[in-house]
Amino acid sequence: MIPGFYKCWKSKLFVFMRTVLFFIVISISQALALSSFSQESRLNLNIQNETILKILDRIEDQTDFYFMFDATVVNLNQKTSINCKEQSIEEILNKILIDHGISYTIVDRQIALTNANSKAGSQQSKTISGRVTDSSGVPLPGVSIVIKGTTQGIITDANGQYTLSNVSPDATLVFSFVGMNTQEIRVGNQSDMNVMMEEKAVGIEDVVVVGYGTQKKANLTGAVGQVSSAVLENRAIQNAGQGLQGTIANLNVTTNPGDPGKIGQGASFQVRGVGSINGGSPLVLIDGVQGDLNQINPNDIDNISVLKDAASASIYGARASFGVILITTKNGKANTMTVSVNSSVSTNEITNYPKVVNSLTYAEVMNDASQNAGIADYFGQEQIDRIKQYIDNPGSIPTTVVDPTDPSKWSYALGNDNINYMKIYYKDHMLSQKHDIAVSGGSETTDYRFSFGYLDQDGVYSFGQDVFNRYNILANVNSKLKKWLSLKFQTMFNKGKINEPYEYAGSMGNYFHTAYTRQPHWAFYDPNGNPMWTSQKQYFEGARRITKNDEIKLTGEIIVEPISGWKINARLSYDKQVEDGSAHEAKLYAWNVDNTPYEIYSNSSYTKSYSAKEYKNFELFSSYDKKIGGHSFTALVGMQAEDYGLSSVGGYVPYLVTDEIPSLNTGTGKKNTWDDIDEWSNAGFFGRINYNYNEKYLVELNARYDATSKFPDGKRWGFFPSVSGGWNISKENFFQIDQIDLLKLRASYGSLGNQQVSNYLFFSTVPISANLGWIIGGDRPNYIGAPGLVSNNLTWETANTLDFGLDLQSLNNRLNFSFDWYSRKTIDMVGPANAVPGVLGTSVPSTNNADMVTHGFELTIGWKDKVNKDFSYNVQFNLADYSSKITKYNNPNKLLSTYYEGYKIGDIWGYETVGIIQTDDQLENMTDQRTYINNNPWHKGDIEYRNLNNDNVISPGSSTLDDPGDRKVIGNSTPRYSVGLIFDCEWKGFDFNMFWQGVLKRDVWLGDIPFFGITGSWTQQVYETTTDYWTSTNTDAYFARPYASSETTKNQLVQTRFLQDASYVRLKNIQIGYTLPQNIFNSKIQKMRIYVSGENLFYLSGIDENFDPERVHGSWGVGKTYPLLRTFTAGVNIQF
Amino acid sequence: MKIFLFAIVIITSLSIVSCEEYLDIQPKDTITDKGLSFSKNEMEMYCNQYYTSLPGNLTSWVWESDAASDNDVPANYGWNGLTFGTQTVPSSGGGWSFTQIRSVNFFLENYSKSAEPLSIQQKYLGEILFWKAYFYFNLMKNFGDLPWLTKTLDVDSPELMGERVSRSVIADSILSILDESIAMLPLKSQTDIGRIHKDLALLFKARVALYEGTWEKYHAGDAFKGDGRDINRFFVQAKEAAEAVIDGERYSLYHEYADPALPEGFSYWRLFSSPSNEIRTNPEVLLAKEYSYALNLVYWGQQIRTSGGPDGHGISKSLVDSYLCRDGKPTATSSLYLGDETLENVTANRDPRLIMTVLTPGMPIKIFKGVTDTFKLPLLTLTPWPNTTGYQTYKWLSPFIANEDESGNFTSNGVPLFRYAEVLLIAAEANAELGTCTQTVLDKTINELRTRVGMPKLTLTGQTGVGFTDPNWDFPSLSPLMNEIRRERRVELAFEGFRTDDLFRWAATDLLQASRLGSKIEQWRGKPFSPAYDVDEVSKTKKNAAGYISPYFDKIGEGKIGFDPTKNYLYPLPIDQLVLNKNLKQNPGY
Repeated sequence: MIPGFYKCWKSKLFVFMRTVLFFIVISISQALALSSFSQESRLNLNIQNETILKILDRIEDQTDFYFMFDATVVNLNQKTSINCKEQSIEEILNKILIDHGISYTIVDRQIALTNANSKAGSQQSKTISGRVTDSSGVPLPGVSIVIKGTTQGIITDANGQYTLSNVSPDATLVFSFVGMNTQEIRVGNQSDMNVMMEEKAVGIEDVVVVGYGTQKKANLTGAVGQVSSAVLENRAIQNAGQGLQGTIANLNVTTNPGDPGKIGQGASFQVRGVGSINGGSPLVLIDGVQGDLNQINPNDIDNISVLKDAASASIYGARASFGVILITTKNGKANTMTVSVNSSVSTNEITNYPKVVNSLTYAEVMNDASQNAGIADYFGQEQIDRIKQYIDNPGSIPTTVVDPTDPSKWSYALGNDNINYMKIYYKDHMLSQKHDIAVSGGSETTDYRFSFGYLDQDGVYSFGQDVFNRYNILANVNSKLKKWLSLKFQTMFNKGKINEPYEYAGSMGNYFHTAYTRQPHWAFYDPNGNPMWTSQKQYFEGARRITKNDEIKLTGEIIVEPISGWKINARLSYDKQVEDGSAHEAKLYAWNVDNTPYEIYSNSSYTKSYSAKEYKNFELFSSYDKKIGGHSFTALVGMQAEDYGLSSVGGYVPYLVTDEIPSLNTGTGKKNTWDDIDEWSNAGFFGRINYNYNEKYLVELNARYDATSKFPDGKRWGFFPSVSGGWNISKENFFQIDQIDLLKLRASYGSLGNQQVSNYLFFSTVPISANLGWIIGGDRPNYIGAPGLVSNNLTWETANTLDFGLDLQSLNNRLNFSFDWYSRKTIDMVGPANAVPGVLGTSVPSTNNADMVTHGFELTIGWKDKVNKDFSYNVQFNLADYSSKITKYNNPNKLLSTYYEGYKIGDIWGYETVGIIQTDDQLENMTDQRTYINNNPWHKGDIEYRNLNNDNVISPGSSTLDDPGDRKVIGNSTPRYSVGLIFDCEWKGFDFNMFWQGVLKRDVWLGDIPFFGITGSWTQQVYETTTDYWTSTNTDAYFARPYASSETTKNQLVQTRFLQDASYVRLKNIQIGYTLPQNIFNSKIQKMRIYVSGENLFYLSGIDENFDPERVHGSWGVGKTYPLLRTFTAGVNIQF
Repeated sequence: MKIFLFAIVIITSLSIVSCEEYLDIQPKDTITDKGLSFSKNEMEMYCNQYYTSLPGNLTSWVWESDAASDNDVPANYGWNGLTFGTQTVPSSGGGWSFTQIRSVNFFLENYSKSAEPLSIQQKYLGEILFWKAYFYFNLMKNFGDLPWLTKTLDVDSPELMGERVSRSVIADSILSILDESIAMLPLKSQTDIGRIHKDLALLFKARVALYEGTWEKYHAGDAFKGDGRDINRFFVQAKEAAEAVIDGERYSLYHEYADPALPEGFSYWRLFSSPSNEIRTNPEVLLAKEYSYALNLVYWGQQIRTSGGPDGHGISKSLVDSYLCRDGKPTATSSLYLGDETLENVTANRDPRLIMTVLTPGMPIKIFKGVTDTFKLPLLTLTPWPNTTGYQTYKWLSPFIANEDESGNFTSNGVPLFRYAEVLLIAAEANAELGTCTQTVLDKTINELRTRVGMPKLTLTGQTGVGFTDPNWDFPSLSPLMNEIRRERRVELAFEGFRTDDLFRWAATDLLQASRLGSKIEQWRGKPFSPAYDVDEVSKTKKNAAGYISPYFDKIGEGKIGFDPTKNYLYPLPIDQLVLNKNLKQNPGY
């Protein structure tokens, strides 16, 4: 085994492994010398004539113990000596303390020192009892309560309860607990003392989760953003991704393109903007293992860290070039047992409907537009009369008439119905519910947490219900088997199901496209009461797609700690995701005038697919902490090997025997089957060294050496180093500003590889396909195609990031400020190949030949204060920005149709609008617009474009950067200046949270039917907004003269007049809760909170009122997206 | 502690059995180029890919096949860049594609790896050579001179910078690989129906040879000419290839169809509206595209009945006028001709193929569940796909709705792509060009076609006379015989995709520029169109002086179209190709 291993890795890994071995040997020799630290283990000390304080310091250094004392009560400046070998802590303490009048109590790792001579007060001693909780009301076991100035004290039990007898009313009780502010309370005449312990203010004690470990926030040198689960709690969100929007500066969360916001669809993420022109997303690690933020139950999340700069992310190497999101899940606490239940019910409604006009207005506008276009009126007088009559008295006439060209059918175009299709297509209210139950707790050595979550959500479709539900189970068990050996085991199971209309494989357009393209006079039901085919109701009700997702993930980890400070972790994960999909298209009918049905869709069919994804990950890493005087070192080395495989099969069959039982077996047509296998593997080695001197000067070095199967042998290994440093100015002696608790400057530089490319790029494959579109010998045979050319030189894209940061904490850690500026250069992006003559006959393989630069900053300001016993509040604001520019791209002619050097990502090219042509004079004197834009003549009411290049025509030029014609960059669609604002406060059991999110600058070009309404295409729409168009009597209109023909496009070119401001701020969430007073329950219930919450309540934006600024682009064009929902939630949290 | 050290090493070693093996991942659901062994199956599957390059989807076939020619009047002026003269030089693309050529060359370079017996190899080699000829012929029709590629190129191959060679050489090369192909291909098989076969390659060779021969002959005086070598070699090859098919006697004209719902002699019409299972055994069909409901391969065929075609089309007056009267005389001289005031009149007493091509009132257009819908009025006012001329297509329209499709939208009718009639027409034309077209030749070719539809035979008088003079002959400078042979070709093959190519190879500039007219507009006044047809409104801009619908009347030159004979006979090469390869020269006129 070893020779094979050695041979295999010899060339690349020799140096690396030698380092590992060296590290291990050194550590073990130290371990042998020092033996161990623990309570049961023995200490060696030999100190002569030192203060007790110094001796205790040494003990703290060597062990996990720490001492708590009040220096005014115990005198630790007395000098003593000790020389002992292999003695227990008690033996040592007895030697050095007892003789000096100091007594002690050992509780877990805390040792409380008190004055042995003081006596409890003499008069009327009494018994005090009560309960200690944390700020959220959860009982705290293990809190030490000591009568000030004595050794008398006690520790709270598993329920946070304590009873202390023989206490004088003059006494003061000192409540202390790790990580909490110590409280001193005078007894007085109280006998019940319930105490709420508060976590120490956000500040220097904070620990931040970083790659393969944690780091004190004060010692952080990279750009890391962190939020706690509080931002996700009790919000009516489908997935954790949605809830993270706006919470961390420059973690940009967008709903997926395609049909954004569709139920069951996740969010997509981006850290610090566009990483590469080829896309790419941050690496998401759940408890260290790659996972899906959209699948996990938001209630299981304890903490979220985002590693933004190259220095923090480079420990993850090749998959981390777009940042890393680290999720930590909740664990149990020792010596407790808590059951917590969260339940909520929500009602959802659409935030924004496009406001369409009634059928009469529609007819009038369309006739105007027809006359403008010089074509026959869309609506004849007879039809308009019917429309009027129908509006005045809906029951008096049928919704439509017989189709004159086919008397057996009802006419849709000649209908006189009056339908608001936007309203009829979407439900008014949808319900959703969410329930979570978690049991957590633990003993001295083992802690556990089991949770179960359920989410059920109804979608907005009126026809063909769309429903999403999800179950999550998470079990975390951590056990400390020995003082030097811990085990962790995690089981995660997620099960989701989406049941939705299939939309006839999109042949009819998706649901939203359909809603936008219905016309109000089209009859929805024919006069016999059957749905017209144009209503498309039967299409959405006749086909269903059901997608079931099951995921199981198992992670086991062994942590060995042979000596204090040296840890070895071995972690193995296995993740399997199974997707079971089916889609059924039923036969569809519409009805003849004689009320008999006829088929409008006969090709019933069934598609079934089944795919399994398997992911395996193994990591072995080891870390060592050492402090020598003021010098602190931490070193980490490790390796990782992971592989992924997708295997899927699918089948399709047309012509089902019956639509009642859709299956592959019940199909009668030719069956078609396919499969797909997709695999990759990665291997990597990593290391990190942290050094600090008195936490004043901080340095961190990271490196990762990574390989991937996605590149050919010889190109597959990449080395990605980074360096970062910090200077904690506030620790300098010359720094004398008391109000400033922390002032730190940071800088980092590093490089990361991007291997997010397709799997088999360097293989020349022969595409195999089934069902040729040609019948040979009575069958449709399989066929193969010619292999293309491939590049053998393809390799990593590399992102180099430079980051400068400043952290400030002030005013007793109440004020918190952090700022980062960064510049990232992405080089060797895979871009288009050099053009070669077309006689090559195939596409030229891409090469690494494009570069991009991204600049940006992040700013976070927080203020947290407790005004008095009853009122505390917290405000956090973040602001982030990025913008990217192409610095190298293979586009020698600088065509505007693709990237060119100097292109700012998101730039929108368009014409500058002079205005609407109002006078004949203007018409005669303006630049010729006819030649290039539209061959039809121009009229009053049309758009006049500005002649920017001073030639004699308005034209698009040659559409190159050097000759853009009369176009210029009129805007940019990159979301700039993203902001988030969190405010929460508490007052006497009431809590209030508010969360705002926004984008302060963004332009979008909308166009198309949802914006212009009348676009000259086969179907057109009229909105309340678009009725404000130019006529000779409405010359002050926003929209130009509409034409019911393709002529109308001349007024709808991309231009400044109709460019939309898509910036917005939105009140994402408001929550008001009340925690019921403890005393109204029996002791079984520890805490009960009821709350109401509202999501997406309100927004401000300059965008056209038919659009939501967060729902602009859909797969079928602008606006045609799943609508954003406003949600009202009522819920309860109970702990017992 | 040593146990730990040992354990770590063991775990590490186990986890990565071998690193490079761990990272070497091959595709598992597809073949790589190195994995192709050219077994029989692989060769067959490789050949299969090209079949969809053939036309055959009626949606585009019926209307778009002749839309660039004088048979058709598209609603949109500029439908075709060449014939309407609106063609601009594209910056890239523009049809200058050698993807298929590279693909066939990949086979030719590598098939010798095959371990199959020679006979099997040859069958597919014959097919590949046919496809190479097919793709080169299409490129030559569009661009003229071409580079001739014999192998797959790499990004640094010198051939990338090569010059074009004369179209005459290209044509010789095409004909030469077709000869090889013909020698290797098997005859049409009853089991492999749908595959390329020997007679099909012969027909295709005749088509290529006649095309190039006439092109070089009639363009001899312009910028599109060939290299000027002996042009008759093409006519000889066309004649010999066509006669080889005729002499093989494996095909004959189809004339067995009879249906009480239709007038007699509708076999010609039935050819274009037969179910696939009927078309595959039709004696006239060398190759058809079959469709099938069971195999989920159907097309939106009923569109022919319910619309005027993509963006609007109509049959032109010019085509309608070219049909002879039943007495074998042209409309200009026949006493049977009733004039063109109405649809009924213009189709009365004419070559029966006219009412099998143009819809006339009373003809069944939909027979479904015992109910027959008949044609009443052309779809002149339909939006957005109107009929533009009043002459609507009946050829290709099948009124019989298949049981499988109750919606009545889709059809699985077969589409004949290569049929025996073309062989006969090529034989006649090639003989005429060679001066060897005797009455015997006419009786074996043109008169076979005429007999099928009950038309009088064409009789030769003298060397090239036909016994009458038509003042409206399309080619007044050519012999009466040549005019009648070309008329027969136009009528027989209307809307099968030949007319545009024919006008181009005949250098028929006058016909390409002629006004595209429709029916007499007055006949539609007051007819129950829905929506209504406002004759007066349409007449303002879309009627010529003689009262015919003229959709482009307000464009240029009173309905004429802008075909430019100094450049529009070929497509321009895209600009990027001229920049990338300085040895490429632009086609004339651009």
